[in-house]
Formats: sequence, C-alpha cells, structure tokens
Amino acid sequence: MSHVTIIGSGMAAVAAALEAKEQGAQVTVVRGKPGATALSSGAWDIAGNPLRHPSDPWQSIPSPLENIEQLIRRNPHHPYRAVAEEVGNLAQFGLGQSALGEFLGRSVEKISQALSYRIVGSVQQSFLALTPLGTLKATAFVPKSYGAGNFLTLQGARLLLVGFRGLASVSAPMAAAVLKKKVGGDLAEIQSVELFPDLAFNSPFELAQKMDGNLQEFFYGELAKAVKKFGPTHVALPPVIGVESTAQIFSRLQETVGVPCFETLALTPSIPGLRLHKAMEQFLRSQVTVVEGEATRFEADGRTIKRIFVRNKDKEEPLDVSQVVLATGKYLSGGISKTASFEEPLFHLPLGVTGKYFAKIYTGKLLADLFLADHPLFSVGVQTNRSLQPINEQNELVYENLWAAGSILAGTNPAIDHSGMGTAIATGTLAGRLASGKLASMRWVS
Amino acid sequence: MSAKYLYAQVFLGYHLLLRLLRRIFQKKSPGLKNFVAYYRDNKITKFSRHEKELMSQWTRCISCGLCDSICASVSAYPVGPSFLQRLIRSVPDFVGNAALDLDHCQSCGACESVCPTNVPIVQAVQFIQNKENEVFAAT
Repeated sequence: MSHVTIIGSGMAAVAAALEAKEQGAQVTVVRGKPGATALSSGAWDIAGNPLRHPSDPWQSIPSPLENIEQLIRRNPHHPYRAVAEEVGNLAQFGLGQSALGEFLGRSVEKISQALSYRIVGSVQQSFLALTPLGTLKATAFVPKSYGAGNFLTLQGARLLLVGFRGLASVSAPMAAAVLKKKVGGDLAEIQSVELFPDLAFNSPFELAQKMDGNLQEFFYGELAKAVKKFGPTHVALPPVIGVESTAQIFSRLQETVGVPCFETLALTPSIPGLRLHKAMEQFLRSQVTVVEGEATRFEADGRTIKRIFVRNKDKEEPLDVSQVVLATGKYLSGGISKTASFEEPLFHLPLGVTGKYFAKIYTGKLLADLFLADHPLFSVGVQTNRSLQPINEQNELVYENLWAAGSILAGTNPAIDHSGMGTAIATGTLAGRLASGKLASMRWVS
Repeated sequence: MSAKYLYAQVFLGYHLLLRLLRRIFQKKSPGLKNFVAYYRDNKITKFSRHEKELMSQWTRCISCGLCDSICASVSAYPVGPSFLQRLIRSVPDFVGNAALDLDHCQSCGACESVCPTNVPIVQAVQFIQNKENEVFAAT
C-alpha cells in the first residue's frame, strides 16, 4: 500500500486526499494555518472568459467547457494543459471528446459528495449569479443555497432583493438600482426591502450565527410579511443565512415563504467561505490522518524526499514520507513568498513562469503596462511536467517523489482566468491519483 | 550653471540653516499641543512610533472572518475580532467611537492561531483597551 503525504489544507489538498484515499493509499495531511478558502465568494469557477466586456449582452454566456478550451489555447502554460494531456491520453478508457471538462465535472461532483457540501451547476452551462453589489457573475458551480438564483433562468421574474439594515456591508436598495440598470427590461420587476431595521450587527458572522439560533423564527415571519407585501416570484437574500443550519433554513423557507429563495455571492468576510472551510476541515479530520502544524524543512536522499519536519507551536517533529503532494497555495497562504526574491520556503523549488526560471528579479519586469492586464507576477509558481512533478531549468525532476497541485503551480492567475477552484480540483485530483502510485494507464472512470 | 539656479541653491541652503538653528534655540511650537487639547472632545489622540508600527501590521488582514468564528466557538461572549477590518480604515475614528465590548477578551490567542496572515490580534485588542482608557480618562 502506498503512503501519500499531502502538505496543505485547501481545495487542492482535499481533492488530492480524496483521490489518493479512493485509490487505496494511506493518506496523511499536514495542515498548517488556513489559506484562502474562507475568502471564497461561494462561486466555484472553472474557467472564465476574459474577452467578455461588461457591456456585452448578459444572456449570452459561453459555457465553462468552451472557456476551458479557449483558456488552454490562449495560455499553453496553464496547469489545465498538463491535466488535459494526461487525462486526454486516457480518452480511450471512457472519457469523451472534452476529456478535461468531463474529468472536472466528475471530480467536482465527487468532492461535493465527500464534503457533504451540496452544490449545483455543471461544466456544460454557466451559472449567472447575483453579487451583493447588484452585478452578475458567470461561474460553473454554486452552493445549493444559491441554486434558485441563476439569472439565465430568471427572465420575466419579479425579484425581491432583501437586505438587513444593521449589516453595513451590503445595501439591498443600492444593489437593486445597479441590477435594474443591467437587466431592467428582462425582469418583470426588481424591488428591495430591508429587514430588521432595529438590529445592528458587528459582522456578517454575528448575524449568520443568530440565524442558526434564536433569530430564525423572527426572520421567517418578517420575510413572509415582506413577500406578502411585494408579491415577488423570487427572493434574493444576503449570504448570511446560517453557518451550520443553512440547508434546514432553506427548506423551512420553502414552507413559510412559499417562493424560491436564494443567497447572493459573498463579499469578505464571507459566510459561504466559512461554511466551505468548515466542511473541508470536517472531511480531513474524519477521513484521513491529519498532522497539525507547518512543514518547515525536509531531508532528502539524492532526489528522494525522506522526511519533513512539522512545527506546531514550539515543537518540531519529523514525519517520514514516501510520496509527497505539495498544495500549499501561493502568496496569501505562504506557499510562495516574495521579498527580495521569490521563494518556495519548504523544498526551495525553482520558481518561474512561462518556461523561464528566476529567483531574484525586479518585480517591474513581471508587470504588464495596463493595470487590469494579466500580470505574469501573479502566475509565478512551480513549473511541472505533464505529471505535475516539479521540474528545473534542465527539464529534470527536482524530486522523484514530489507532486504539486493547486495555485502554487505556475501559469494560473485566478483573478484573470477565473479558474481557481477548477485548477485546484483538477490538479489536486490528478496529483493524488499519480502520487498514490497508480500508473497513468488506469481507467479514470469507474 | 545659470544665475537663477545658483540663487535657488543659496536661498534653499540659507533657509535650511535658519530652520535648523531655530529648532535648537527656539521653544517648541505649542501648535500640536493646542490641537490635541482643542480636539480632545472629539477623541482625537496621538500615536507613538511603536503604535504606528503595530498598526501597519494590521493591514495584513484579508478579512476572511475566521477569527470571528473561532472566537465564537471558544468564548461564551465572543468579541468578534474582525473589528480589525474597521480599525484599519481609520484608527483615530475607531478608538473614539468603539462600540465593542472588549472586556470579555481573555487574550487566549485562538484568533491568532487561525489567522492566515499572522495578524497580531491580541495586541490590537490591548491597544484599543489602552487607547480607550487614555482617551476617555482625559475627557
């Protein structure tokens, strides 16, 4: 039985852990501080279309599948390419034409089930979700509580935007005004209402927690009153409808309010992000061995990593490893740091972007002229071969038992290509599969 | 070198010298003291160099809200450390008008243990408490 050690606790790490476990490997996850998971708006992006302009008609959205293919053509250094080649090779074993898209769709489904975090959406069709600012964002998958809010299906609807007066971060009237400007003619009516005029909240978290508890019944009553007054066909709620009991609240809403309700995407601090963070934590704790602490250094024998050292508070303990998946994220979670030079602080892997390698470089050289352009600086990372194993300038493997997954990989800039969650899941799953020692000739589909 | 340039150099040099000499021999201008006294009612206060360094560390906050959630799970009276988010927008404003009850903070450090960017949250709480005492005691 192979033994896979995964460093990191974000979505790429979870995907790798799930896949390696399914392959029968023994899985250990080294879990340091949380990374970017809790910042999630709730949208699970697979691939976006940077060529779309905000003034383009909002009803015609290319599907994530189309965007993936365009993304790989436009950016041959994107990690999707490695996955597409590796997975596409196996098309004969049961995956269809767009092997990567299908692989992603299935992987997302599996993760959602494993986390007991129910999501809706698909790679075949975009989901057009409402933001708290009243704009629309195309994505692939969203949590179940967002499910009724796909604007591609809302034409002719009478929409009621609900806000909470005491929650400073979102304003329903403002969002309604912005949304009216965008889609005004296509929806029958857009109205807004603010509930709980007398209650103030320090943070969205406080409100969400009260929604789990004693504010719930009051909320049903107030919302039912508002719905009776405005007569909407759909109700948009801020993404603060409970932390633990969101699913129960939404099924109760169905009974007490009677019209489909959905949450909008979240700004930070994000409650949907917190829900995802908790679901992932729960999964790791219950399904695999978790070592708490930060991996600080390692020992290698030639090109084989033998041991890593995990520091928890002031204690540092060695951990023997056989196969290692590095999924520590990029700048925010410290997977890569940039001070005087770029550094991958654990294995000191060579870093770069678009096939070039560098450590000390003037940051200005990695910035484009235009502010909103795709700056190579944010795509700097670990470069790998097709099997997601880090390579150096001479195209040699740096370590024979090391795989990399997630945003630490070079070539992806989620803010531009909108592929953050997709990259994490695709590369995480692939790395987990390859690290668990199953050869590429395995069937991908069971 | 043109005469204009030379004149400018000499002029600036003379005034630099004058200013430095004044600083040695003249008494300190009461401007800042007057200002602080005048705006005491508005709870505007001074910040030391050390405090300013501390403030710069709070800007690492990415407002993920994890500190709030852990605070609620370990404490019967959660403080909601994400107040930092507002703190960093305008420290003077916040210190004067903080509506939060920070007395329940036990400085257990649970919030710091989950912070992705290592913000010194406990120090921030202590800073606010000290500043509040200072500002409110004076009024």
